[in-house]
Amino acid sequence: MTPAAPTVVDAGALWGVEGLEAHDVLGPGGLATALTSPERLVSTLERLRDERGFTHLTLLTARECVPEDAQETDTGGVDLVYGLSRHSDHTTVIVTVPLAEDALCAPTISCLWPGANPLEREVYDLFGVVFEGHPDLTRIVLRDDFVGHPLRKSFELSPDGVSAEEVLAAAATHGDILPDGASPEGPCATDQLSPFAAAALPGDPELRSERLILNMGPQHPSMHGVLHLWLALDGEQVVAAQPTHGYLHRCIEKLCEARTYRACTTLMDRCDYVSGFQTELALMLALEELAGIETTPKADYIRVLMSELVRITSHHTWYAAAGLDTGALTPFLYAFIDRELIVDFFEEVTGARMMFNYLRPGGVKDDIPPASAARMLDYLKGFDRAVDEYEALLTNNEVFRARTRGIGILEPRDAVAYGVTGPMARASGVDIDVRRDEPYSAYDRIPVNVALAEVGDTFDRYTVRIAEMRESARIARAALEGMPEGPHVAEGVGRVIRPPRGAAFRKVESSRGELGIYVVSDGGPQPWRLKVRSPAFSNLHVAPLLLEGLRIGDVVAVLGSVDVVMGEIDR
Amino acid sequence: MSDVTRVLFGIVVLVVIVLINTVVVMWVERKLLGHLQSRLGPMRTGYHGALQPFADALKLLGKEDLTPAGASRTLFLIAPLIAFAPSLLIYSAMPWVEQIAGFSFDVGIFMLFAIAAAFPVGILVAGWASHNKYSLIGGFRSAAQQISYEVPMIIAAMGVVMLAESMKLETIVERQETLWNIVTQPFAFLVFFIALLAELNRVPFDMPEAESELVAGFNTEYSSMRFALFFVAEYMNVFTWSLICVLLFFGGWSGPVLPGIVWLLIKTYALICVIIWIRGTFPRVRVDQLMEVGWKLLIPASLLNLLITAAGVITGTFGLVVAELAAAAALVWIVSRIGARAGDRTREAALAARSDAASGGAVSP
Amino acid sequence: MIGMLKGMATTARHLFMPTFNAGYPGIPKVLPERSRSSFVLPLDDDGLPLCKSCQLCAKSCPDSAIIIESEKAADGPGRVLTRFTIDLGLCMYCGICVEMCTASGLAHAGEFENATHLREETLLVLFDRARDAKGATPATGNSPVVGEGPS
Repeated sequence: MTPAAPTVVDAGALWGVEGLEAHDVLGPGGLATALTSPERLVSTLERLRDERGFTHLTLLTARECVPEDAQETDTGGVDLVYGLSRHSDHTTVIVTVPLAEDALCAPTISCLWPGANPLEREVYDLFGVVFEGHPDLTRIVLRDDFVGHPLRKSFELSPDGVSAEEVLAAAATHGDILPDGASPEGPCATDQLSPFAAAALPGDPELRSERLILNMGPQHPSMHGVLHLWLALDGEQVVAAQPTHGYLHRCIEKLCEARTYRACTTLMDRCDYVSGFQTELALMLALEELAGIETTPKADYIRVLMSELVRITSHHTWYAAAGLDTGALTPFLYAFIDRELIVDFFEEVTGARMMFNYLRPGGVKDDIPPASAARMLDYLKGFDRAVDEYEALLTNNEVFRARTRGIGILEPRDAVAYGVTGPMARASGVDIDVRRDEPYSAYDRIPVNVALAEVGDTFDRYTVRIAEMRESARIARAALEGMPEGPHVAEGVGRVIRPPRGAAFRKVESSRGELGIYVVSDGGPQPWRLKVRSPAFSNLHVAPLLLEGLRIGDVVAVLGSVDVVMGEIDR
Repeated sequence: MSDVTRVLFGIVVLVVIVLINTVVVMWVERKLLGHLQSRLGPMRTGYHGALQPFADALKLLGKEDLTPAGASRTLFLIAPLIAFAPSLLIYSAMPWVEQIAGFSFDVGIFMLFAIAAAFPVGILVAGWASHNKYSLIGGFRSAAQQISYEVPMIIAAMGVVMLAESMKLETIVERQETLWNIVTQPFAFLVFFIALLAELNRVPFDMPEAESELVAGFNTEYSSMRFALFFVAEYMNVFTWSLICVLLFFGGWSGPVLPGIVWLLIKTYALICVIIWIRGTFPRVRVDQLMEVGWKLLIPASLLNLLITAAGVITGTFGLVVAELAAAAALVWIVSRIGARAGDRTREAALAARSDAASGGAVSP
Repeated sequence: MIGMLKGMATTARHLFMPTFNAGYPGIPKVLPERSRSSFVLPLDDDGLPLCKSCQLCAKSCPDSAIIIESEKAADGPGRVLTRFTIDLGLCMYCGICVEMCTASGLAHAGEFENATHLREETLLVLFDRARDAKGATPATGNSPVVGEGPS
């Protein structure tokens, strides 16, 4: 089938907003974007949100300007890229804000979307863009004493302007040296308290009590991956919480800039290592859109099958952890027995159990062996019984209900403001699902029933995911049964792909929510910029809101229901 | 044989028997938990991993004995002993002391609870001395929990004492030869058993070492044999309290055909298996819910049991059994509702606040 | 209470079901056909590697783990392979090298027990003309030649 046309917002809706001009930054085939200036950024986005209904901040990142000439080394600055989505008609508008090299600063929009706060910190961390008025502009994935901003093209590991001694000296004093020798920048909250510190410091003056600051993780048996959580405790009660991450930062976005698209696929598996197909799929969709590659119908079905199976394994992992986090040992084992069967299937089909590297531009690497397909179909037919068993262990267990019901309620308006997506948003009653709203691959041919809950507490997040497991098994079965004949990969796709200059942003519904890949091509075999819009990132940063006022025991239970995968958050 | 040597010999025999049973409990727990979870458990050391506890002990012996920087060194070092000693000492109040030492306590039950009350001291000291926030929270939790649950436990046991008209364990067991106390005291047993799980720090009340919250709670910083002491003490307690429960409610060593000691072990291990089974199934309650169950539910329930038993002593066994069963059913019903009710109220309040905020229930983003 | 009992019934049922785990070291794991595992250089009928030392795999490797040494063929065009190494310490088993090879000169070996004691031992020497010429069996790859590490 032809790749879906890029989602272009209609001109009237776009141009009705003052200060916004339609702009096609990177030529044909790319994403239609709008352009504004830093001065008018906040008012423009506010009007887009309030008057045009673009309530969902789906993307906030930056990219180095693509030089006209490949030999040009001076890129002339950084573009901030804001992606806003409207749920009424599922359109996305990309607003670009060009910043000149000598003025890398823009106003913060964390007042409009609190969820922008960590995203802006990431842009500051990796690009050095200073957001004026940001409440806590500190590094987020790199060490606090890191020197330089590595996603700038001018960044070098041993920059010419800065000697190794200078780097060490700067690290010792926690100073900040830019590779080009510019002055240390930033209102990096050294003289003012971060929101966490402000909430955490005071104790009860009458009791002369102090807050207990507990560092939960990164080495903690029930922290999910290497998440590090600061908890300010009053006895057992959480007064304030702040997630700290970056322990699993592997520079995947930077690595991709130095690798061909085919090699990037294998790095995508390592972003969200629990559901690798979905990240791979997002990259393939974006790449196919950029390069104008068509997929075969069979490949579409295989992609849907794999996405849903990997969603089941991801939810297995979540269910296992959810049990452990509330203190039940057995759910872990039962879930992993079933997960093992699906992972075996993955190995038979793709050759690997977690790091698949299976999707290719135009299709998939190999066809599914008929024997494996038959076995998987048999397994899926009995899948509901397995889920019944999971439910028998937890759903109606009074202790589990007491532990999860009414705990960690996420208000729907907070879910929208923080960019929360996926099962977590749906548990709060926010009815979004990329599979249904913007169908990709074969989702337009296989209907998706979206599981919803109402309240948004830990228990609702549990029930939504359990319902999703059943639904995923149904979709996977439909994909297996309805799989058309034909080639599994489109013909005529070269070994090395050089998409034309342009940008693409494509979203998929991953196990954790809306996962997007934003690719900028300069016409070369390697992406100029590749950004992973990580759903778990946004979901994690709403956690302090949920944790406030809970007890230590609830912290892990709530975090378990957020279902974070640090590989995807840190990248 | 002089009295002293006889007592010493008896103590050695008793300690050996208790330690052997502790090892068996460890093995049973691993294997049973394994099979409950569709896995095998230890398989490589001895027949079906029977020597695994010894292998573990050897391994722990070979580990470095670490004391964290900043710890209160003396207290840190003796805390495992404080926890371990009462676990062993408690056997001095058991019924068979008479055969060994030639005397027995007329207030055996009282002695049991008195000695057992020293166990949380060790845990509290360990938590406090470790210089670790997780240990500290674990220690505090443990102290609060054990104090809260000792009260209903003792009061529930008083029902048994009223029926036996004695605090002497031998008498209590002898009185059950015709009718076990579990029949006449099901309500007391329920209260006692729930409190026992809490007293043993077992799931669903394993708050002090809740590994998903507190890493390993009070014993986070312990390594080597000091950790092993805590570990052994805990399993010894599982055995001990199952034994006491059998003495109080399941007729002790009484039973047909087989010798008394065999009956005693069969009953005790059956109860241990139930405790392990519960561990293999249940999530953990939260610390405030634990306190709520203890203070708001079990203490009134145990007092109610005293009233029922007192009335039952007057009216006769049949009336007692009916009243106890009714009370037990009510307790089960309340226990299964108590936690979820608070959560349901929060949910409703959240929904109501949301609809008040004019946007209506389900938000269309 | 019903919920608790249901859970206990579930675990009790599993108690009497066969266990799931297999005794791995005793019962060796057989990998499926497509499994991406350790590597082997397939040989032609003369016992020489099929590899044409075209460097396509080395260039496409995302981790630059492959180093191929070759020299100009004495007779005719093309090059002759002298040494072929893959650093398994860098390799992430993405399989791109095998996929890229046009001459079927590189394949997966079905061997996955690649743990070594030392980091240097992770260097997998698939072919070394100097070594293989000394009469030792040419590296079939089935036993990765990685020093004295346990297999």
